[in-house]
Amino acid sequence: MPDYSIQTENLTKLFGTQAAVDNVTISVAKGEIFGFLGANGAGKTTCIRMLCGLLKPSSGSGSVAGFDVMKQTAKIRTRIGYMSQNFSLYSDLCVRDNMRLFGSLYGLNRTTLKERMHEMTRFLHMEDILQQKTGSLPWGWQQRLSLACANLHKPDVVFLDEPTGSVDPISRRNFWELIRRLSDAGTTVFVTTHHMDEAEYCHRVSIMVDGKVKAVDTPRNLKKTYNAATLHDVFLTVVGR
Amino acid sequence: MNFIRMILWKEFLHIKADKLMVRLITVPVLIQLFVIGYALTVEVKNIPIAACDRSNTPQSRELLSRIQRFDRFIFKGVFPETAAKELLYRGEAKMVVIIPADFSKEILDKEGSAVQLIADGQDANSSKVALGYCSMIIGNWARHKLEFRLTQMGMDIKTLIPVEINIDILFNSMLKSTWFMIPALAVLLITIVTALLTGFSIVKERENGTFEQLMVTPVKSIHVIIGKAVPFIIIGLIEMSVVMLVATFWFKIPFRGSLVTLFVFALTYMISSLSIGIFTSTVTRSSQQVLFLTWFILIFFILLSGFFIPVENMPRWVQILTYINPVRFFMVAVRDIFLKGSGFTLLVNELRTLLIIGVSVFSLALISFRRRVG
Amino acid sequence: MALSGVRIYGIMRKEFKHILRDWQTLMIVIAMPLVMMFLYGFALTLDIHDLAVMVQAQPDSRAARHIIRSIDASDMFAVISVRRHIVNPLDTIRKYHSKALIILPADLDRRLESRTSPADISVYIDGSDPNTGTLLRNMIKPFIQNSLMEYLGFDPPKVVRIRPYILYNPHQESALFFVPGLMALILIMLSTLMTSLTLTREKERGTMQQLLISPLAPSEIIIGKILPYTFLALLDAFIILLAGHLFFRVRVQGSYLFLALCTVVYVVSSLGLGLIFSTVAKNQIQAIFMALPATMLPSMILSGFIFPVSSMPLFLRAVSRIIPATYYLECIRGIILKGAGPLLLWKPLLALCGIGLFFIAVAIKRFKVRL
Repeated sequence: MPDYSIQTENLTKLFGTQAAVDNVTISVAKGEIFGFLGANGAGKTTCIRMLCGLLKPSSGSGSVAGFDVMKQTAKIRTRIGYMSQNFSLYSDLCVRDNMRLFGSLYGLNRTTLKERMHEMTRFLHMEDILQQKTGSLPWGWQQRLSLACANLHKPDVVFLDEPTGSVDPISRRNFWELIRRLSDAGTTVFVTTHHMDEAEYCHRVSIMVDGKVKAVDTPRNLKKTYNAATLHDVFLTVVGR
Repeated sequence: MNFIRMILWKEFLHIKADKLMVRLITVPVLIQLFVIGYALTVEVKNIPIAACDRSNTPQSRELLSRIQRFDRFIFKGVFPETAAKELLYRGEAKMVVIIPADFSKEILDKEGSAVQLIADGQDANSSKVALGYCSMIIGNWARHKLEFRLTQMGMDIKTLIPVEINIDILFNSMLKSTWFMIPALAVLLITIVTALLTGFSIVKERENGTFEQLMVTPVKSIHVIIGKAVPFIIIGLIEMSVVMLVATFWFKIPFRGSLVTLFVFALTYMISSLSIGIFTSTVTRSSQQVLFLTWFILIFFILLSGFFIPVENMPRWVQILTYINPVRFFMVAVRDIFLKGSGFTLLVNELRTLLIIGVSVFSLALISFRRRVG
Repeated sequence: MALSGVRIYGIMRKEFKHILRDWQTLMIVIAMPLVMMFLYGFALTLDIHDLAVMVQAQPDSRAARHIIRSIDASDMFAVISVRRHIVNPLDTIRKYHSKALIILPADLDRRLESRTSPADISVYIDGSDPNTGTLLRNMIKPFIQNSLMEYLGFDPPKVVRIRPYILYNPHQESALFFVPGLMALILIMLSTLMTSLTLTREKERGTMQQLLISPLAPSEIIIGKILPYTFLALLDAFIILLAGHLFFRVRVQGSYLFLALCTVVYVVSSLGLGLIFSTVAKNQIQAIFMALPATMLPSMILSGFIFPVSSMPLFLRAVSRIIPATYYLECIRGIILKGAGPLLLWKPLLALCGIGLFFIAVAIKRFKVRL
């Protein structure tokens, strides 16, 4: 049985009587780039929150990085990284301070933190902006910094919630380059997006509709199954149903 | 522990980055100190008074001259009745004294003579005080007349009522308002700084989205709360020290107690005030909401704390309510430490109550905080 | 440039929607004046009563018993404890938080009988609260003397009877006193605060730029954004008056129309002040820390609401003359309590207009520079 980085079984979250996430069963392998697609309000963010240990599931089970989402949320948080929709950086702190902060909050000691910060800075070419106030950076750079902060502690899984937002297409492509490199290094990447063209970069993709996962497969297989030219068309078909 | 240190470091960076904020926390404090110090007086001064003397006898003139000489009054003169009342209506006189026509005869009667004091009631406080002064002056004059008459009859009031009453005013012999109000201001400032700023700090993170980012890391709720509270505790203590310095060196208010006692009480109190801010941040979504909700709660607590109006003046059921008001107990402690030199032994009840309230409110805030996170 | 009513209306509608969505704040805005009225009406009173008094007296002293009875019978005092021997008055007063300590000598009865030499009565007064301290200082001696006169069977002639009469508020109903004050306080607090908050919020979010780029003129944006708060403030004023009328029998003696006019002028000047703050503050929290002390402090303390301005030192009296709350208070007190009209109140109203215009002018100038 292959070692799954993320595994859920009938994971459900009820708000009142409404099921925001309805019996979701998925498995993501180590190092995989898993695209979590769905329309706005389909339940993607709620699902991610449960996997991160930010929200308690109403029922079902799941494990992330080997830890139970119901009972071992504290341990989960030591092994994952998270990048939220609006980058969530401290805009009045400089780039270096943001990295230093998140690195140590993720548990890195001084020496390791220094090393990793150095690595990250080189990896993302951020040498010149280290002292700059984060809020004054263009969005593309903030995006990179946010990714950096989520990865300093070399997590097993990194969750990216709409990481590209409304950044320009070239920056988006560069960003996915980075994600690819993370995946090659063994980090599992769980990413949500509503840009269908980006979904092509994922190993596998799932489509969520009204809290339920309606389709899970590689992009190529999905296109074949639904007889569509692009994932965009696949999406429309699945959602339309 | 490391987490708390990191969050502390972050918070101080935030404070450093917001230079205007630093000025806003300090300058108004100083202004308020001076304004309150000079504005809040019990003694009502410069009250314009007019009189109408229908009797116009040596006795009535003697009485009026006493009123005229009273330094808190500005005597506008003697007028016919309608003119005097006109002054009152126009607001040029706050009180009118009307002496009846048969004054000199009536004062010799058993029932005495009826002197009318008509006060402008728009301002309840000063009209009451003005009436009080006038009554006191007239009362003294009446007593003086009585003693004189008794002496003429061969009796001495001292032998009639053989008592020597000595009055000793403790703690504030000059009965200065500043001595009472400025220490209380320290309470107010600490409350506002710790409750409001802590609440804002937490809500801002939520508004920015950085809160979620924090909670995804191994950081626990308690780390965030302590990390955010400590800088404001420090700021609160600094402000209190500023108030103390101005109080002792500028207003010359004596500090008779011990600094240690004061700081221990301050820290104990801050547990409650911080928790209020933390709690409101967990039930609101924006800075504006935090402000209004915290302000709403604080107004209750501050008005019912004995700051302006003593708790003893309030109806019984309100007094019972104040038993859960931490501001009340800290207020008593601060004033007693300053003016009465009270120490832990005399204030043990207040300390105990503050601890109980502090721990309860903090637990409530912590539970609410955790609930909001997950 | 002509202002478009349609465009202003558009912004107004959006602002109203924001306000209505934030029901929490709305609730508090409406509840706050009611709560304060409740507090002032029932809890906060300037009447002093039941001051804690301790007495040292011998149980067999009839004079002492008489004195204690009279003290306790008075509303103003309450005897909390009688002891035979109080070692240290200072410690005792501190420990029991009593306001006064009366030491009646053991030989009181004897000395009153024999009249050879006076009995020594000592009174220790807690002066830390000058309010109660002053009252005690003025009243305790005559009180004890009167009580003793009664005990000794004296009934001295009165000489003078004082008949106090308080105009405009004969029953000294505190409501007539705090309703106008609360209106002044709440109106300026809310108007200034909410104006500066709403504009600073846009600045924080960066949406201010978007608004400015749009076809709307800056003045249209500003008017559209602050008009809803004018309504809100007037609503609050109305609530205060209504609650005052329903629960505290406050009746407006003068003209409602004139009252409304003065209130509108006051609200507009408060909004102007809020505008000024919004040009200085970079974020909402700064705006709050500017608006709160600038409105609460002067309006509560320097306007003549509670503390008499005439007793303050010169520089504070000067400050009192330049804050809008002072003039507004003068106006509405006059209208509500005296039934005064423009004839009597034209001066404060004019001053209010002047201050308002000044604030708005400064605000406009700053806006032009900023934008």
